[in-house]
Amino acid sequence: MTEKIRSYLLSLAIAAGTAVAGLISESVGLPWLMAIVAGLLAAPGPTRRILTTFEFSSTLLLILTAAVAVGTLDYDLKFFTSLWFMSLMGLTAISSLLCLIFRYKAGKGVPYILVHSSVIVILIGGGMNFHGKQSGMLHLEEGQTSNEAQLFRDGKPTQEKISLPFSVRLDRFKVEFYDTSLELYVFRQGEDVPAATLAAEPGVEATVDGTHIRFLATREHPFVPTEGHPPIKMVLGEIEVDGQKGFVMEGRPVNAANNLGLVLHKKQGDVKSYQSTLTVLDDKGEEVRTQSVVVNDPLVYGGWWLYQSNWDPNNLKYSGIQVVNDPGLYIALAGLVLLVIGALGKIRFRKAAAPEEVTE
Amino acid sequence: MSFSVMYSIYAASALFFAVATALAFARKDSLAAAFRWAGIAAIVAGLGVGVAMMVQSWVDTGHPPFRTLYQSLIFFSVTTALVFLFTAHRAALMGLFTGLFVVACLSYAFIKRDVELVQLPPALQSAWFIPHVVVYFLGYAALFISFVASVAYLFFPKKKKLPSMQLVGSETLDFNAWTYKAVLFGYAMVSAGLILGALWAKFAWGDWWSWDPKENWALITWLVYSAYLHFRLTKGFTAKALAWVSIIGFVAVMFTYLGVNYLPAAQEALHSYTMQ
Repeated sequence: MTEKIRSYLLSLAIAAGTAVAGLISESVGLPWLMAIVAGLLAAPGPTRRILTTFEFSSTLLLILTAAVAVGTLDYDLKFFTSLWFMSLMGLTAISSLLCLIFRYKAGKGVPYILVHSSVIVILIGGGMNFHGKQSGMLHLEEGQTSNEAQLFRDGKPTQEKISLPFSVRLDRFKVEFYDTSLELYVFRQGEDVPAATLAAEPGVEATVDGTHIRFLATREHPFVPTEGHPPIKMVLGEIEVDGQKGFVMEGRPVNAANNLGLVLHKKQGDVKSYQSTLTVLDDKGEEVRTQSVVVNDPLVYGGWWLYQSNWDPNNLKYSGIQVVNDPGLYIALAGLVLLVIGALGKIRFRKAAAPEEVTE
Repeated sequence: MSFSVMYSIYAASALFFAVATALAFARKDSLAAAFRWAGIAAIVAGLGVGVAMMVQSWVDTGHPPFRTLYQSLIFFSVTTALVFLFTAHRAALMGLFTGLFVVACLSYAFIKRDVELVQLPPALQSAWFIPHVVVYFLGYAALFISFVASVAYLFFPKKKKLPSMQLVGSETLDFNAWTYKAVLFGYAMVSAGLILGALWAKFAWGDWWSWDPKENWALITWLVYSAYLHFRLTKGFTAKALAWVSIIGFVAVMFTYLGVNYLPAAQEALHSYTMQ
C-alpha cells in the first residue's frame, strides 16, 4: 500500500471515527463530544499533521458533500442537526484551525487566511444558532397584544410556548393584490397548456400555427340568462382571426380555425404584499416602537427579529408574525463576509498562476 | 419573435466557430480568424437581443426578469455570452462549445416558455434579488468555461504546439491552467452568491441557513469546487483526476440550477421556480 493511499484511508478513518463519536454522543451527551474536540486539538504531532494535509481536507470535503446530498433526499432538518453531522462540521472547523496555526507559514497569503478563518467563524456562529436559537410564531388579530409565541422546533410548530421579553400589538393588517387582468388563451386541440397567451388589450396579436389572432377591444355586455331574470354583465372581447372579426365571451371557449380554441379569462391578481403594523411594548407596558413589517423587511428589537410570515385568507384580521432570536447571528454574518472577501481575493484576472509549490 | 431571432443567431455563432475550428486545424489561419470574428459578432448580436428581451420584459412586468425558469435561462445565455466574450473569445474551440451550450439552454427555455405574465410574489420583492441572481449566473457561466476546459483537457492532456493560434488563443495549449483560472472566478462568484442568499434569507425567512434543497445543492457545488482547490495542491493527485473533479462540479451546478426541482424534497422547499 502506497503512502498516498494510506494517507487517504487514515483521513477517511478519522472523519468516520468523528461521525461515529458524534453518533454515540447523541445518547451520551455533549460533554463526550467536547472531550473528542479537546482530544483532537491536543493530539500528538503525527495525528495533528494528518489533519492539516490536503489529502485530509479534500477527503473531508467529499464526505461532507456526500452527507449533504444524502440529507437532501428527504427534507428533514433532524438530519442536519444530528450530532454526527455536527461532529463532521466541528472536524472541519478544527482542521481549518490547525491549518491556520501550523500552515500559515506556507506563504499562502491573506485570501487563504480569510477563507479558512471564515469557515471557523461561520461554523461557530452556526453552532451558537443551533444551541441558542429560539423561534416561534405570534398569532395576532388586529388590536390584540401578546408576548407568548408558539414555539417552533427544527422549523416545525409545537404545542409549547415561548415568552418574549416584550409584548407586541398588531395595529393593522393589510393584504394588497395585483390588478385583476383579462387574458386571451389560445389552445391547440387536445393540449392543456395554452399555445399562446395574449394580454386582452387593443392591438395585441399573435400567430399560432399560421393563424393570426388580434385582440381589438373589450366591452361589457348585459346578458340575460333566462327571460325575466335580471341581466348579468359579461365581458366581451372583440377579436380578429385571420382578418375576420368576431367576439369571445369571458369563460366560454370558442372554436377558431386550424383546430384552435380561444378562451377569454379574467385572472385574479396574485398577492402583492402583506403588511402588519406592529407596536412593541416593553415590560412596563410602555410603547417603545411602531413599525410596519412586510415580507423582506422585519422589525428588529432587543435581539429579536419579527417577520411577516403568515396570513389567513378566511380571516383578513389575522397575521402570523414569526419571531427569531439567534445569538450567533452577527458572528455568522461576520464569517460570511470574511468568506466573500477571501474568495474574491483569490481571483486571477490576468495570467493563470503557476501551480503553487506544495510544502508538506 | 425576438426569441427565434436570438436562437438563430446563436446557432449561427456555433456554425461560424465550427468552421473556424476546422480551418484552424487545416492551418488556414487568416480564414479561421475571419470565421472566429464572425462567430464573435454573432455572440454579441445574440447577447444584444437577449438583453433587449430582458429590458422589454422588465418594462412590461415592472420587475426584474428573473422570475421564471424561462426568464432565468435567457439570463443564463446572456451571462454565458458575456463571460465568453471577456475570457475566451480568442479561442474558436471555446466559441463552438459556448454557442452549442447556449442553443441547448434556449431550447430548454423554449420547452419551458412562459404562457402568461407572472407577477412578483412578496418574497422576491427585495433589494437582494438582483445581486444574488446576477452573481450566481456569472459564476455558473465561468464554471461552464472551466467545464469545457476540463473536458478538453481529457482529450488533449499534453502541452503541445498547435497548428493555429485561432484554436485556443495561444500557440500551446494548457487546459489545466485554463480550468483553474475559470474555477477561481466561478468559485468567488458562487461564494458571493451563496452569502448574498444567506443574508437575504435572514431578512426574508428568519434564518440565514435553512437546509433547503436548493441551498444544500448550492453548498454541494461549493464543497466540490473547494475540494477541487484542495486536490489541486495535493501531491500525487493527477491533472486528469482534477479535470474529473471540475466536471463533477459542473454537473452539481446544473443539478443545483435545474435538477433540484425534481427532488421529492423540493415539494416543501423554499426555493423554486415557477414552472409551467
